[in-house]
Amino acid sequence: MKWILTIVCMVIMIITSLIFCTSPTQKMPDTAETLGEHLFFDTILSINKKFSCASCHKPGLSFADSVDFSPGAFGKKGRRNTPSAMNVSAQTHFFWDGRATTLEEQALMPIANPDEMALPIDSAVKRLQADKNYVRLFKKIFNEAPSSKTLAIALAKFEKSMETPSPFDDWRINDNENALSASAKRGFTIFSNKGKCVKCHFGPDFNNVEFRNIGLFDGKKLNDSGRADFTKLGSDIGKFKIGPLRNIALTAPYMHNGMFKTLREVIDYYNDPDKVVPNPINRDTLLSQPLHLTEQEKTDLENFLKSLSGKRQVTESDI
Amino acid sequence: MKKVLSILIVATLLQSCTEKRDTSIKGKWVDHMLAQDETYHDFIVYFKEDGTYDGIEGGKVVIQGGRYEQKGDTLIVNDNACAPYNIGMYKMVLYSQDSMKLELIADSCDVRRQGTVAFRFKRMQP
Repeated sequence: MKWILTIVCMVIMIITSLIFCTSPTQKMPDTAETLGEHLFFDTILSINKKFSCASCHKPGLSFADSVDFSPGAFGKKGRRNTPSAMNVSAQTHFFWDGRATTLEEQALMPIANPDEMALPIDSAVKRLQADKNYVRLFKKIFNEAPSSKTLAIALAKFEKSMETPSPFDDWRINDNENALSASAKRGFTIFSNKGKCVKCHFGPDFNNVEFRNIGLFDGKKLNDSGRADFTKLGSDIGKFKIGPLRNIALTAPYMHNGMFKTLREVIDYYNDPDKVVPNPINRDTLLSQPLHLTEQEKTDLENFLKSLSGKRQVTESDI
Repeated sequence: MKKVLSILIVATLLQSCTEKRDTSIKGKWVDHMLAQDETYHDFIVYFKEDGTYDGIEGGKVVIQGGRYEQKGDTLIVNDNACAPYNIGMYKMVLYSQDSMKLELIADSCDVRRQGTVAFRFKRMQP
């Protein structure tokens, strides 16, 4: 009996020491970036303390979601598909309609949005100011108590830290021919030529700074007017931010409304948009003719898109 | 001894006069640039053997598969970031074999023009 008790005590001691050795005291945020990460995963920023930014921006899905519309704090679904929160440091507009032009501005909007975390920013700041731990951390990092400004800076810093170079970059930068399959390399050629993808998808994250109408607005079943919601301009009806392509293989479903469940469905759409949405309003002329891609070319294009998935550094969420 | 020295000096002079200067732009060139966030970044342009070039920053290819052609000291570039005004022409001014700037000849693409003329490139060792 004594023998068993001794073993049990030893096991408890080992587990306890392990817990304390890996406890947050060792991983306490000490920079704006790590504080932002801590906040990103903390449910303190939602009205019912059940949702965090990571509830919709899931780490295993390139900080996007796997559903067409993510549910918010009250269970109500949002209006648009959750975009990835990774590879955003070079972006000039945020949200599908581009209503935020800095990451700091963007970072606070989902907290206050009644369909998302539903917590007014003033209330969020008061909560942080009432939390001794956060007060200590903000003072240590920003030399001041939590405020909407420092909250936004911290969240933005964390998001800016999540850049993920990919096998495609390895191939192009280091001439590592083994980084990409022959099919993916052919896919890049199709992407740049016959597929015309590069006409809109170029730059650090394979999206231009523009907004385009790709034909997913018909005023009937597809009635999200996109950028026009924000600008109130008729010319912006049906336009959305061009989607970044880094980690795209991890962020299904696709488009502002999540209507395509796979990359192949997306490619099939671009190959012949009229087959999917026959009467679009104000669709971009780039999509006026079918691409006539063969099945092999579609596969190559898909493999190229998959080569844009990169790994991120291990963070708090992974531990 | 004097004779040997003279021969060595003449040989060195001859070599320096006949040494072929590498004026090809092929390879990687880096510019240590001040970014918008007030920090310095390395921006690399990789002119490839196949006539394409990439812009590289922070381990990511930020300009993918632009096309270039070098005719003497004139560089003609063409990339999607500047559609529909794709073509830009620049004069290569080589300070030495491993440093260069590009002077504008013609480029109606504002973004590329402003970026390119500000760069001071240093050739990277392979």
